[in-house]
Amino acid sequence: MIPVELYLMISSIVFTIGLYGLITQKNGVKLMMCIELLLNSANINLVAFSTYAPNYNGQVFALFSIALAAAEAGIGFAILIRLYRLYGTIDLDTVNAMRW
Amino acid sequence: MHFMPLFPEGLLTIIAILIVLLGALIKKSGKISAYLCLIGLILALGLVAATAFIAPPAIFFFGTVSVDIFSQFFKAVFVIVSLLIVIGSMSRYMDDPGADEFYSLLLFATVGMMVVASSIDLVTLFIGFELASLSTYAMAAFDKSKKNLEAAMKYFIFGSASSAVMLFGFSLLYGMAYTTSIEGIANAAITNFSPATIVALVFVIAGFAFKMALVPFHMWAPDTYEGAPPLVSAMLAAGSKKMGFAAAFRVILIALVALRLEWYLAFAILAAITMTLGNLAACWQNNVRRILAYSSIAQAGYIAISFVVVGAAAEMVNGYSIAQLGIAGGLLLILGHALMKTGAFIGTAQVANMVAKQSDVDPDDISHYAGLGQRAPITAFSMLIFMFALAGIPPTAGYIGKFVLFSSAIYAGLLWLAVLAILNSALSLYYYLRIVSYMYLREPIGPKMPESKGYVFALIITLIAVIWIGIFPQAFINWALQAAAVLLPQ
Amino acid sequence: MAAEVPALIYYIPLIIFMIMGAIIPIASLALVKIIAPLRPGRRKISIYEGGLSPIRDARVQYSVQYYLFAIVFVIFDVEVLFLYPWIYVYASKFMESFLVFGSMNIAVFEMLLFIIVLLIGLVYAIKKEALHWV
Repeated sequence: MIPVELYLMISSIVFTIGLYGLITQKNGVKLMMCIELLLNSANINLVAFSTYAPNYNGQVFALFSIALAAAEAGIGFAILIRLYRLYGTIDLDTVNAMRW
Repeated sequence: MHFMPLFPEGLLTIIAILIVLLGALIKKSGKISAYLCLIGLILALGLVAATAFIAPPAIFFFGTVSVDIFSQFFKAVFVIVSLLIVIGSMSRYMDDPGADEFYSLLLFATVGMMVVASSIDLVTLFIGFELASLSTYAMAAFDKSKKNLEAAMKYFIFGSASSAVMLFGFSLLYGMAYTTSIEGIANAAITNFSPATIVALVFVIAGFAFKMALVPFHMWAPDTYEGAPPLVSAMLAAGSKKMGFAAAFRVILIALVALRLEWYLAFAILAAITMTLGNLAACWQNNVRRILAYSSIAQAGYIAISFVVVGAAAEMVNGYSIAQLGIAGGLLLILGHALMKTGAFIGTAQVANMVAKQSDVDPDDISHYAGLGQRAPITAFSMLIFMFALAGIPPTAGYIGKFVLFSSAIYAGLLWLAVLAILNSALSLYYYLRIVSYMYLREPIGPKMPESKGYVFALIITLIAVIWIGIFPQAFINWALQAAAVLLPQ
Repeated sequence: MAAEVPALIYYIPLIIFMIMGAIIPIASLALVKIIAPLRPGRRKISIYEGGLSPIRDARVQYSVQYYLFAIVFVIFDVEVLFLYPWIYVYASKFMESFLVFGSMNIAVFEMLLFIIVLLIGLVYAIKKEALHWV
């Protein structure tokens, strides 16, 4: 059996990649990909832990979070399409009328 | 009937789906959906009130949902806020082509918040959290102007990243306790403590703090509150933010009060920085909704004091422990702040509505408030009361909440925090009075304007509620204390 | 009696961790700058096309309509996920004690409710012309 540390390692690597991308990227679609990475790192954790746990709660939680991630992507893309139609770009650095 | 305590959520869900269906099948369903929404929310408020003092807690769905006094308190807040927004929206969104979407999203967001308030399991909590968040992301972009979309995009990116971080924390908690029930996690944290708990705690607090707009995680709040449609800003400041507090009370207090680490000191510093920075930043803003956004951040700082009090205190006063008193103060301030902020944002909606007909400049700029006392007397008077209430001047709802909360902090030996909070309240008077002086002391910039009926009606109801809580606070204090006793049985 | 260990001792690993955490990314970024300095030229940044000079843009423009379809598809696609745990529950001994209407397993009723809600979503998408191809 694969030790749980390895799962934790891969999930924390995925989490870090997502967080790094979230900080550095300015393309709207890439930002959404990074958010998916963050969610999926949590899913890896949940499923990995649930193989050691006496119950299936973790897997059920992961299923729900996958469905919610899809809904979130739907809403995000809808906002992004609207944004593209108004601004003509998905570079979020140009979408910056309000500050301070 | 066994499922009676769950009727409010069920009713609102059914009505929301009905509105979606009507919007698909009937052209121009705006009026019907608005009235359906109104009736549903009034009924739901009645049902929540009927079970306001429910004891013992009713547990449903294999120990995942608990309907108790604490959850009913928060549900009442959420339903009242939605009700006020629906009343206010009747003069704005009823004839909009997307009215049915507005009302169904509003109801879905309300249901999500209510689920969060009564969930005692991480899965239910997360689903409710996301239901409310997703609906409000869509609502923030509702008017489809450039500013709306910028606000919605920022809110979406920050919000979804924060819920992902929160989910990561939940996954670690599950890995530590092998259960998703909050009580089970608390027991596991006591029996076999591991450092992973602290890591998970950091992630979970970060996730909640985004929703509560505590200071290192507050960046989205001013932009979103300024850019979103005014009624949606009211929903975000008064509803969505309070949902963050409901979740934080449930998870952080029950699951992690057992640890008794130095975490309350971390919260004390967070609260102190939050209120100071919020108040200071509000002082040099010229956009009224931005001022309200920063004041809302400062208020989140005050409410966060109740976490600190729970960590610091262990003694009893008048039969209630200080910790319970602290939570009750937080709950009262949440109730008061929800009402005051909804009212203030509806007031800005009224002003924006008056200005938008004239020009295409920033409708929320403070210069448009000059002479509002003569141009729109009812709006100006209610705004005046809300500003005083936000500053914490008696006899208003804001004063009662602050009084109970700060005195609990003093009882708990956190004198420095209480003094800092009171100094902050004094500082906040500066920018509240600035708005008031614009409204009453400046020459009016235009003729007297007709005030929209829906907004006026919502404003008057909020006004009465704010003053009512200020004059007769005993029932509300009692309710909040009993809710706190559910959360922290001694 | 041994002197009490000051609480600060426990934070030393954390401090070391933070210092190392600050050093490593800076060092690695600096190393990249030293080993492989960036000197872009016209040839270097052009797209690799097997020796031919590239023609046209590499990106193909999709219609915005495509994204709308993709959104609707993704949501309905993922909801099917919930059928898998449902089957597990439906077939379990535990559910046999929950019967409605004489012999109907209550799990069937619950799944019907779920699918009806999804159908309402589909009706909404069709009626609002989200699936109307132009």
